[in-house]
Amino acid sequence: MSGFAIAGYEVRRLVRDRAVFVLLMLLSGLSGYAAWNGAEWVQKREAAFELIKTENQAGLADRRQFVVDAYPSVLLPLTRLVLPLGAMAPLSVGQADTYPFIADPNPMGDYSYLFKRVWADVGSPAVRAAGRFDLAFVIVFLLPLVILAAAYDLWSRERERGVAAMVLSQPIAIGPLIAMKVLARGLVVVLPSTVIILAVAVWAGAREPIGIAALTLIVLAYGGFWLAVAVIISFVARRSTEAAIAAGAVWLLVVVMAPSLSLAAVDLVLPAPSDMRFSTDLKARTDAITKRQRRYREANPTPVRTLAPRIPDSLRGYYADLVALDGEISPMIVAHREAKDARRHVLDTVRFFLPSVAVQDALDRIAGSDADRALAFETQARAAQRELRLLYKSYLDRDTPITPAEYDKVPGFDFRESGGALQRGVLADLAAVVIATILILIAAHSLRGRAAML
Amino acid sequence: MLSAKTLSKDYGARRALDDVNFTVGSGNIFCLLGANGAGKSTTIKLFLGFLKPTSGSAEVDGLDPRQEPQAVRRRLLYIPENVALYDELTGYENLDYFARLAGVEDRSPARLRESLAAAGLAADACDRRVGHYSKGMRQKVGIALAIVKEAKALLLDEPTSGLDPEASAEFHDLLVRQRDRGAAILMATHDLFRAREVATTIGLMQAGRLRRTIDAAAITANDLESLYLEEMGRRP
Repeated sequence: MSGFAIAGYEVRRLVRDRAVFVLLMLLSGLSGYAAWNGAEWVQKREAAFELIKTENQAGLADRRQFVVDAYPSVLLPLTRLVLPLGAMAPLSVGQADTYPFIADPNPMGDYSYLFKRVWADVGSPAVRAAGRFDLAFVIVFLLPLVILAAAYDLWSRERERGVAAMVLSQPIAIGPLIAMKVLARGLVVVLPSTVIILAVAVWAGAREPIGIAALTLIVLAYGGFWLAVAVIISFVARRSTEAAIAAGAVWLLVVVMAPSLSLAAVDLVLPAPSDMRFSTDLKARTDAITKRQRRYREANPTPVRTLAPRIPDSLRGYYADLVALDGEISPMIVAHREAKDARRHVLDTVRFFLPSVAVQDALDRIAGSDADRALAFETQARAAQRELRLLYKSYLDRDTPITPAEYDKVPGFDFRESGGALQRGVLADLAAVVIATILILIAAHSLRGRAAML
Repeated sequence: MLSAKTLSKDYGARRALDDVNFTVGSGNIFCLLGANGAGKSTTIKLFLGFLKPTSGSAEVDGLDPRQEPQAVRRRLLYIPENVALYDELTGYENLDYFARLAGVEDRSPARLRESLAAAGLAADACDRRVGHYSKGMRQKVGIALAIVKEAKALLLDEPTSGLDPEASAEFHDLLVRQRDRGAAILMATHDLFRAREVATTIGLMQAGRLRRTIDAAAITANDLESLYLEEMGRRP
């Protein structure tokens, strides 16, 4: 018999079963609300960026006036740097609220100054703890429930009702039969779910073609993973009620418990270094060094030159103290960063064993709200600060205030993206989900004899 | 066509079928009579290949269902006590679906509808969803499949349990027609009187053993009842 004929009849049965229609309507409603949430978050961010842009323009104009007036100092064009939103931002808020997205690259600021005035959005702790109800949440948490609800009993129900005996008494192998049933559910549940999610994502403003393609691949792969889970549940459970309980338990384990337990296990082996303690220690150390430097300056004032420099020597002293301070606190910063990097590396590896985490990570990366992008912004902002400091030093060394022409030529900051929506991290996440699906299908294949026991 | 040779089946420590021997030739109906748990359904499942015999063999047209399941199932039609079909599909669609599974080449709508009519299903019922069918109507779809499939052997597991007398009589008429076209029929049943009417041979089973094989034509209904009660009264 043609496998497609089996799939065709399965599709007909599923379409006539109103439960699938209700599930898809429910998914549409929830996806729409989630997309609206994502779009609103994007609007708030864009409003904040617009405000910063206005402030930047006003600040640049004010400082330029001082340059035109030849004020005896080094007045560089300072603007607040922003991490722009990704083209697929409405898809996932992800880690965007937990990392800084605005920076103050003052050349004479210390290490903590860069993100001192503008830290991440703290918002409601409850929202932070639970995560936002965005499209990524719908995909990671709710899409599996829709797929399981439509497929958990694809074989156990037939065994329970006796149809399986009628079917297996015909000359057909169980493997291809189940494959066609899965294909039908893919067509009737996973494919429309993907279309719904894509449609609301585009409606919310996610319009990058490559991003849409990546999102499609991730949703289809994740849908395939849950279909494979449904197959194995249906093979093992002999009754629909058993299958329903098993489906709920697997969802709870894979989507909720395993990520939490894995995080707890990593915390046990590699505890997260405390940012609060680091900041406190760093502040104490910086204060101590600054006080020592101030006492030294008071005891050893800079000799007054016979020919007064155009830029006051006090600025040179301050600059030298800042460089010395950075040198002294550098080991603390390096140690803290290394501890965080080691933990992040372990967590990055663990995600490959947890399909739900891999999918969340992929969606964050597609949306541009992942931790790697936020950390890349921090790195680039610090580099921008270093460049400004070197420029500042060059004017101190030349003892020449900046001219309006030079002021206008200082390059601005543009965040350099390290990867698009189909970056290596997304492909790795996709591969992890596909491999997990294949492993489950291999397990299901080995259980097919059990499924044929009536 | 159907042949059980020293057929035994154990479920763990319990022997469900013990050294059963019989054959059912083409154009014959072999009725297995016995109380619940006597081993009737187990015998049928062994012919279908759903179970593996502990010893002995159940052969269909000389083929072992465990070794050549596809070839065996091409020759068989199985009708359980409750013919389970897909409720969301119509009777016609169910027949088409199972005919496709059975590998029936000629599935023209005319032939399928003729088969349903021959099985006694009213024309207006064919396009109604099976979810609304009575048990008897479902059994008719099963018989229609036997007609379409031209099954060489029918395995029936208490097919008339729960049917009203009229539907039961109608079903047995259909069976006789299948027998007359040359099908070998193995039917497990509790209905002594119907069994005597339609069967060629009757087997009395008790506690997994085939106690007695009787020529149906050579026994009266009363004698069959007496024999049955006598055999069922035996201790295993």
